[in-house]
Amino acid sequence: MERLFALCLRFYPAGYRELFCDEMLDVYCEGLQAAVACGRIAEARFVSREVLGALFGACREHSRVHLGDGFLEIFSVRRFAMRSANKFPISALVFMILSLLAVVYTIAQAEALSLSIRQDNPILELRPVHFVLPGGLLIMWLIAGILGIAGWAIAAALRRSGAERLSRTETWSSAK
Amino acid sequence: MEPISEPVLLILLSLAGQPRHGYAILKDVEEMSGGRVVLSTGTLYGALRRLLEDRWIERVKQSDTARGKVAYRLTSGGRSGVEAEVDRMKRITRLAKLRVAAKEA
Repeated sequence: MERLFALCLRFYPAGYRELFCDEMLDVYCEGLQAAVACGRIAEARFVSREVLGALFGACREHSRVHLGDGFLEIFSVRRFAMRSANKFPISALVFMILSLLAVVYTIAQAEALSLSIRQDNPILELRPVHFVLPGGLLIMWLIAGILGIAGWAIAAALRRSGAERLSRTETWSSAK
Repeated sequence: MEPISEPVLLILLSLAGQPRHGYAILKDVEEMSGGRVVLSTGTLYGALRRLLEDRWIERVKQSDTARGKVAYRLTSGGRSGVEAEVDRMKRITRLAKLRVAAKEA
């Protein structure tokens, strides 16, 4: 487990690794010892929280180094602690669903049109795309559902790790 | 100045009493929040890095440990920041009490 965390630390930028990674590994080892003493479930929770926290931290540091402090704000995963100004509006959700329905309808129309065209040109050999609407839609929704659940699980784990609550850390810069 | 987030405030409060190293900060934050705020190591060091950059805290070598662990302590700027935040919270609490009392009356 220590090696797993050490591996995660390798994803941090070089300067950050040099400054903090030995310390972070020490802190992790101390925490792991305490978690192991509390049982298997506590250990699993501790390791998952630490690994996710470290990976998220590595992404944050890289984005900070290459793209600046404000970049992560654009792709905020802090659904639970968003500021009112950044909340995901219901209207956007409605428009997204309407857009999806429009795309699906267009695909279905295109399919119907392609089936209606007679394929009597032997050189071109146009073949209609066989898009089976109910099955295709089902698979699409299934994939979207799985991705959604995975995303929600990651967001929940990050929330548990406290990462999302660093949302207001940029307030310090104004105090310089 | 905008409000400080709760985990960061807890980190600063943990360092207000005495210098602490990473694991001691984590345990202190957890204890102060009654187990509600459990920071991961990555999250903690992300916050410490920014606090160091903003000179709210500084690194010190702890001489009393065999391995010479690095500890963190509040700077005078950090202490002023914490005091300002506590004052802000006091004002809000006072206002909330007044408003709630007015509503009940």
